Amino acid sequence: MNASTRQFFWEMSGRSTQVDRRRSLRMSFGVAGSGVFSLAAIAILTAQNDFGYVSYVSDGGLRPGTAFGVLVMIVPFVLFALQALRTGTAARERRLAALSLAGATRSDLRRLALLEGTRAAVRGALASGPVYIALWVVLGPGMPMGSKILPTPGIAVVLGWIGLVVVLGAAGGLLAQQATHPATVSPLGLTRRRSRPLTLIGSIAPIASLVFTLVIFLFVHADSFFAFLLLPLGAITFVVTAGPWLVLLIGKLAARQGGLLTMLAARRLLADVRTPGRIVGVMAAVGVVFGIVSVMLANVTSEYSADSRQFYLAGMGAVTLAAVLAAVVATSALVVGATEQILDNARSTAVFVALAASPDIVSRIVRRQMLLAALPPTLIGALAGWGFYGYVIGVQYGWPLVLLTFPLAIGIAVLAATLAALIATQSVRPAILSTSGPENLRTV
Amino acid sequence: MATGDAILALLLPGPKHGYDLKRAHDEWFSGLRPLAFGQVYSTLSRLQRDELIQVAQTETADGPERTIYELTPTGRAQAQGWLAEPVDPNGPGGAPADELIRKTLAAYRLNSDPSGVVARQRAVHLRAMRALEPERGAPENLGSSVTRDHRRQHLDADLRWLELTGERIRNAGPAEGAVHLMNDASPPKEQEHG
Amino acid sequence: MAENPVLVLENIQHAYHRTLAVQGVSLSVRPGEVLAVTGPSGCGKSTLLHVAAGLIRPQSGTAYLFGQSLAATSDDDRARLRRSRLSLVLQFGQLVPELNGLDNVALPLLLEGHDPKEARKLASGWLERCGATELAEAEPAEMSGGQAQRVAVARALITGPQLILADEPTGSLDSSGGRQLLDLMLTEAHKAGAALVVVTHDNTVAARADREIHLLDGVIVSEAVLA
Repeated sequence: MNASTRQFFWEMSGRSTQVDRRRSLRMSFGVAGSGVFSLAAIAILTAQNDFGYVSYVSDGGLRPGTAFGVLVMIVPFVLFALQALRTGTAARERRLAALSLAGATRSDLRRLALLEGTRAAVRGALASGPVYIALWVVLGPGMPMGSKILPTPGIAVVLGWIGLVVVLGAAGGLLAQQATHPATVSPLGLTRRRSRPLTLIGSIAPIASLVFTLVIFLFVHADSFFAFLLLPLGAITFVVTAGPWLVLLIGKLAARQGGLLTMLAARRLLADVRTPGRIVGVMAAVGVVFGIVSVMLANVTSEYSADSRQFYLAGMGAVTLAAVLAAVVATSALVVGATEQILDNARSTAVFVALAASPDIVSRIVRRQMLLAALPPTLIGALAGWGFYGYVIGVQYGWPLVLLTFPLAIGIAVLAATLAALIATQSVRPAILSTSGPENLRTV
Repeated sequence: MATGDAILALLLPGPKHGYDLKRAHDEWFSGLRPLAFGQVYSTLSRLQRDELIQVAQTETADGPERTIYELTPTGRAQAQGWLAEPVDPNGPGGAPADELIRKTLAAYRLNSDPSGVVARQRAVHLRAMRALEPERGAPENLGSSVTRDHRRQHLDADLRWLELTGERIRNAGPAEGAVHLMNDASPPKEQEHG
Repeated sequence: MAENPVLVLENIQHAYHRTLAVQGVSLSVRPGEVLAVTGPSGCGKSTLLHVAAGLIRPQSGTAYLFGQSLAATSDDDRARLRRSRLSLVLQFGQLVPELNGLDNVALPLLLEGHDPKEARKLASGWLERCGATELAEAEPAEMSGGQAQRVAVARALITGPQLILADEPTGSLDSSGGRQLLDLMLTEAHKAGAALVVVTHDNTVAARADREIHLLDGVIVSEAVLA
């Protein structure tokens, strides 16, 4: 590839439609979010013992746990970035098809995707530094003594930032390149995207990670560093990889229902189980947190003295906030995916409205689709978290208290999932309205 | 007698002598085969015999004697009738192409409702096409289907041409120098708009 | 006694991006009548059909469906109209991809809140009448153009509509497939006593109508009574 071709590709990767710009912006946002949490984890781990920090940061024994918790928050942001990568596919594929018609080879197209992904990821990673500083100003110096959360960024944070730009940039490019794969780009337009069926790896991964998690749980001593690191890792892998299967199951069950709207919602869900599947993991984790926190709340308020109560409550508050943040990011990813599905099937929506329905009915179908995707995993997570932690507490402190927290756990989970679904539906409404007009009846 | 009708139409704007008629014919219908002088004079004498045209005057300005012809009332009525009456697509071999083209172009040149001519022709063609539909439930045999297909496709080709011509006429606007002559043309069967 | 028209368009005008798609078109359709609207692509015939179906509000002029002005109705009312007294058949891709053939036919009834079992039974009967029994379980993606159109016609008929609006219904089919579909539509519309407005650029389709309207640049340039 000579210099002028390289120049051309560089220009092509930057020049783009609004859809493309939105995609790379979203991807940058996801990368920046995960970058900020990575930097926060580095800062916490390398923080000097100092007055003024909350005990979770200043106490050397608690610090690794806090850092790990912060690191887990990377997951929803990474999922969001991945989701963003897969958006605008219809428009992007048309562009790729046009390029291919003009003589671009497959490897040219992949190179283009690589450049595009790298660009967005580097931009996001670069932004994570200033964003961390801004957050630190608010949550560090801006907080009263004893409540400071984010440590002063030192040399480790700067080095980490540079490392993130390199690592995330490379990963973003490779993932973007990977994402062009499922679309078969032909010069004569595109063979219709078919939803990719779940692969063998897709079916082995959740089982393997579940077995792995159970083995660690049962056979490795719970206090060892290994268990501490690997147990959550295995659990997260399990939840994320099992997501699509859960969606598949929910979809199949709901599709068998007689009601038209539920059936349509289920079929739409089944048309692409991967997109909501990724989100299911996050929602389940959020549910687990809600389940545990409800039990803990009751336990802490009834058993501990005011001093230690405050310590626990602060921690729980932070975790709940993190869970809510994760739910918001997951919901945004859900919105991005659903918008994509609606825009991709513009004619289908237009036809549906033209034939028999009002845009409102499409909205209702999407709402149900969102609920089907969000509610079961959150509920299952809440049940699991409540059951697990409730057992631990119940054995120690007695059962009535644990049983009392059941409605709380379920209530919070239902509320959070329903809220997420409603927000998501409201956000895709413009897409529904824009695709329901008769001008979409004839677009191929 | 396609040439006869065309010459009657050419005389609608006013009297002409033989050479003028040939020139006007070749100009109006420039895409068609030019009219031979022999054909002009034989047609003129036949039209005169049938009392559709008459001699207006004889010129002997310089050179040979030139006879100028004009339409008789019958001839005028026939010319206007010819313009108003669509070509019959049901004859053997379908609608004669020259006739379709001459009639349409003449209507355009004379500014005598060319869009109406196209519209009426369209209706006649569509009706002919409709008449080709087999009786419901009637047994189909290869022979009749093949014949019907042939006729249908030719009618379809004519209809497409009519559509295109209608568009061209609409976009071209009124013909230059045309005089509106058709104040008493037979009323069209179909309504027209626009 | 002249019956009231099922559809009246009065001086309809509509423009897209400052291009007039339809400029002052008026027409009316009698019960049971078959009207063909023809014209080259871009002449405004689809826009006219979309106005008639209440899919777009014309910038000026009024559309009356069954004597009722569409200007005064809400989105929901018009959607309800589209699944009861009025049916649409489009060129292609009009089946809801998530539903199989049977459910696609039953869709208007299901949306109306009919008993699903009853709706599907009726749908199965219409599929049979339209010669598409084998498509009950098929997904739209697996159907050929002609098969999908048959299902669409069955769906258009299931509600017993008084008016069927068809936009290039044979446009994606070859000539014999198009002929068969048209036969089906004409026969069934006739049996049901429904008026049929078919937008087409195919003269062989137009020739089967009772009346033809030819549009050019958004204006009716001719109207021919064929039967």
